[in-house]
Amino acid sequence: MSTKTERKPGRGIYLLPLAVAVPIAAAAAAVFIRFWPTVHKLLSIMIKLVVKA
Amino acid sequence: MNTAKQRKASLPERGFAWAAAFLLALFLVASLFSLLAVQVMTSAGLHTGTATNDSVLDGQMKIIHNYIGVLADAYGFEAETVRQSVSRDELRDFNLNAAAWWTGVLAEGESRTIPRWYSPAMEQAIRNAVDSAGTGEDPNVILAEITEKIDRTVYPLRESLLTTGLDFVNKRADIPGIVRSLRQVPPLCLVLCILAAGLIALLAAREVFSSLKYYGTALAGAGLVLAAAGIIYAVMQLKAMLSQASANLADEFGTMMHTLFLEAGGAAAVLLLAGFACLFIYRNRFEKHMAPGEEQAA
Repeated sequence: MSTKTERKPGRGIYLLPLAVAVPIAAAAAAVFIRFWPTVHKLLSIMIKLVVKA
Repeated sequence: MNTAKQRKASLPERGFAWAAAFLLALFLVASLFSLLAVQVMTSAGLHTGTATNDSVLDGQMKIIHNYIGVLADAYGFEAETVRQSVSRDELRDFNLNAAAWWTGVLAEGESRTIPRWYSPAMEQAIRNAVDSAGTGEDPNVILAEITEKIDRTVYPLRESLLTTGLDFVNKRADIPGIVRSLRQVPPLCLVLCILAAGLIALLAAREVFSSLKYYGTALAGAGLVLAAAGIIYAVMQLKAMLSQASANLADEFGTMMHTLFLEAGGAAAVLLLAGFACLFIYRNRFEKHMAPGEEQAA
C-alpha cells in the first residue's frame, strides 16, 4: 500500500475511455469485416424469399 | 497543509479495478443492445408507431392509388371514386391490426391468424364504378386485385411463409420459451453491470474518489462503443438492401430504425456526458486538496 503524494492528473485522463472503447470497437469491426460478406449473401437470399416485390 | 497524501491502491488492485471497468463498459453496451432487441421483439408502441407513421401511410396510399389508376385504365372504370373510397383512417386501422399481429408473433414466437383488408365502402364504390362504366367487367375480380394489392402493401413480408416456417420450427423447439428467456437478457446484463460497479467500489474503497476514474472510463468507453456501432450500422446500408426489394418495407424499416437510433444515440450521449463528468470531478478534486505552491508544481 503506497502513501506517496498524488499529483493532479493531466488532461490525458480524458483519453482513458479510448483504452476501453478501442479494443471493443476493434473486435467488433474485425468480426464485422470477417463475417459481413457471408451475412450479406444470406440476408440477400432471405430478402428475396421473404419480401414481396 | 498538504492534504493530498492518499493511500494508493496496490498494483494488483488497480489492475483488477481496470479489468472491472472494462467489463462494466462491455456489460453496459450488451445491456443497451439487448434492450433494443427486446424492444423490437415486444414493444407494441414501436411497431404501431412505425405502422401509423404519416410518411409510411402516405407511401402506402400512393402505391394503392397508383394501382387503382392502372386497373382503371385496364378495365375501363372511373378511378377517382374508388380512390376516395380507400379511407386513410381505415388503412391506419388495418396497419394497427397488422402491427398487433406482427408484435404477437415476435413476442410469443407463435403464428396467429393474419388480419386481412376488408372495406365495405371500397367494395360498393368498385361495384358502382364498374356499373357506371358499363364495360361488363366482373367487379369481384377488380375487388380481389385491389384487396390483394392493399394486403401486399401493408404486409410486405410473405407472412404465410413466415407462419408456416414458425409452425414447423415450433414442433421441434420451444420458440415461445426461447423468446421469453431472451426477454430476461437485459435485466441480467444490468445485474452484471451492478456487480462490476460494486467490484470497482470495493477495490477503490481506500479512496472514494479513485473509483470515479474507473466509472468515468467505463461509462464514456461504453458511449464511444455505441457510437462505433452506429458507424458499423451505417456501413451495412440495410435500408438500401431492403429498398431494392420493397420501397414500402424500406420506409417502415427506416422509420423503426430512426426511433431506435434516437434512443441509442440518447443513451450514448448520456454515457459520454456522465463518463467525462466523472473524469472531470476526479481530476479536479486535487485542486481542493493542494496548497497554492503544490498546485503550481502540479
